[in-house]
Amino acid sequence: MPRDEIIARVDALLAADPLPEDAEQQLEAILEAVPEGEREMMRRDLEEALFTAREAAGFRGVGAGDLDFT
Amino acid sequence: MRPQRARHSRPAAARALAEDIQRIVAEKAGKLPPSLGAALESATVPPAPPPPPDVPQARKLSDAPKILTELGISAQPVDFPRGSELGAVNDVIRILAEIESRFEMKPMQAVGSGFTIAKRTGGRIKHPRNAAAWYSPHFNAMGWNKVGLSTEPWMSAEASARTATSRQAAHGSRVSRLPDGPAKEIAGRVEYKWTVVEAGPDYPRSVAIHESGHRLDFNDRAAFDEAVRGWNSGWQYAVSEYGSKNRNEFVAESFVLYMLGEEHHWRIKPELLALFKRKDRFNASR
Repeated sequence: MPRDEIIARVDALLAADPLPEDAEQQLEAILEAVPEGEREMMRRDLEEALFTAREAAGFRGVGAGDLDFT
Repeated sequence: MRPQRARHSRPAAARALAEDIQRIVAEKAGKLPPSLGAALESATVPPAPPPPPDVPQARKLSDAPKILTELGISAQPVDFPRGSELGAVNDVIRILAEIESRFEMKPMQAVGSGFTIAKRTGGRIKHPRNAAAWYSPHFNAMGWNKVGLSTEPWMSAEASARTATSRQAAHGSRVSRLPDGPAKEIAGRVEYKWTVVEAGPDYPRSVAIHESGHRLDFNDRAAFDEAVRGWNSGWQYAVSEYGSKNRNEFVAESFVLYMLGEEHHWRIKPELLALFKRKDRFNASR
């Protein structure tokens, strides 16, 4: 898959609102098409981007309560 | 109860002093003819910047949680991932201490292994195990994986050069389609990388700055929403390919540019740069 197409698919996935339930699996499928050299570098960041996007979606203010932890 | 941080008094005092000086100068300048008043304001010698925080060195990985809690950066002690590079962990502690001293944010509950923090939330954080690191605003915690604390290169020099060439070509073509203006002009001058810092000795420090960028953003979401308006009209291509992915990563990657130093500030969307500067005690005291 050409690089431009990979990037366009990643961008579309991250821009989806709401994020699909299986976004992590979709990301993994896209990463399979990334040349091996670059794949791990992209994965380390794009997993973070999905995490942050999910956190932003349900954001209601920065937590401070110790009660949040078990 | 969290211990009070004595070192916080220094930046606060420096900021108060700077504000006092600015107020006195503005009052005096207002009583002078306009040209003399402007000359007085521009000739004011700025006060010295706040001193850097004193940060002890971790001699072994298990020292890190104690240092982070004693500095007031993390309320709870959490180990870093086993096998992390000690030098990288020390770099992370130092930059987190600097950011803590320069920016006003709610103190974090936990900093350390992402796996451990996620476990302590009873699984309410879904730990992304391949991410370099992450920041959770709900738990106000920063989780790390070993990959975020590695200074190893991610690919061979040849593969890296090949990827850089194809990325830069795609970048040039995208920028050429932008409308004329400052974003296009600036984006056209950058060496466009995947992340502002992709790998190497500065990488763990840059990850800590990136996650702190998310933290800063979530601590004042409304102000950042305002500052990033129009971020994807070309400014995203002045930062990094990862920073172009969405609004959140744009802020975090721009914060990396901000903290790397003034020589990188020209690449930051002006409204966002102004917000970083307003929030930065170091900048406010100069």
